[in-house]
Amino acid sequence: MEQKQINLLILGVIVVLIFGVFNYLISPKYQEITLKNNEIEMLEKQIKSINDYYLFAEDNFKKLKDAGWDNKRKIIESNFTSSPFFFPKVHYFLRTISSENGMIVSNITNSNPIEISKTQDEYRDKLEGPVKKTTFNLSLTGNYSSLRSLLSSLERQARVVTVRSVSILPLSKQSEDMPSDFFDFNLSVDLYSY
Amino acid sequence: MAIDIGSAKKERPKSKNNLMMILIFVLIIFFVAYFILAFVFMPQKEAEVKRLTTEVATLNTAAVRANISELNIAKIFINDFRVLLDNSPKTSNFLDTFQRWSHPQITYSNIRIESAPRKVSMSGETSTNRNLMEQIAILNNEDSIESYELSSIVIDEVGKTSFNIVLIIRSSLLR
Repeated sequence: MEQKQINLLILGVIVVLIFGVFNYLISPKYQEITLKNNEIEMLEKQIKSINDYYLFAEDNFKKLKDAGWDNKRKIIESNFTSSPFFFPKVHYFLRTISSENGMIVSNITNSNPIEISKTQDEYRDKLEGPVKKTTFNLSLTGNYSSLRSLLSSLERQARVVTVRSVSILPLSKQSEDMPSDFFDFNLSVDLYSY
Repeated sequence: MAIDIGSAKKERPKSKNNLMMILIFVLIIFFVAYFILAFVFMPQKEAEVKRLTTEVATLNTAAVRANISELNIAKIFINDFRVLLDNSPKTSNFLDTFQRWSHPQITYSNIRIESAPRKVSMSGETSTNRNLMEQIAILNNEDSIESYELSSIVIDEVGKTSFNIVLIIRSSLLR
């Protein structure tokens, strides 16, 4: 083999080696590093967005606390509790508020709770929680001003009371003890729970 | 003097030597580049990824989770409370207004107020049908009444008038 041919062969081997190193070592490693860079970039973005979200949440949580949320939550959460004592509590609440407004309570009955999302109520889609409503029927006796006072009191409660219907009827049991301006009232109201 | 041309040693062209040197140099550069990529940059990147992954995991602390959970509860409670409150008709408003509408000479009984259909039904009784006419005139002038329907009107021989009336009131009256 002539020197010229040997030289050409060596040149060829070097070229093949250069190609091999580039193609099988450098290029895959470079791609691997590019992937790692993308991963780092993604993680940095994730950290930034998490931090931004936490800052936003922290800021809103502070505003909520400053607005006295702890007390307000205690006031409104009676509408969103899920307790086995819901019925006795509401019966007691309705009896107390009726008596406070000069009404005589003769009977209170209630329906089973219904999930509002399963009803035809127009506002059902606006609710975010699994709110259920229960209808309570009250049989009351008292005068007209007591009824107005009771309705106003119910409308001012933090425990939301939706008056479905009010019936004002002549006294069914007339007695000498009853004042002449007394009526029977049937009050149907909805109360809410989870 | 004779010149021996045939025995003169042929020298390799300089350009071929240079090419080989350049190729060897390039090969060395490529090896060095590979070793830098594999043993300097790659470990750095892997360490960076590990550090950032740990940082992501440590960001989500129990305290932050509790705050976010409380915020979500507040959002749901406040929204639902507002929706329930907005959709709870104020029946007492109707009673207040009804006192202004009702004719002083008419006695109403069996009053039933239904908030969802905004319907009020009642029976009325008065000494003369003139009072009923005046009551109708009052109702006609009242914007908050959408419609009304009179039925079972009975006028006896002395003019005593009894009737049933169903009012459909506007929703603004129950706000």
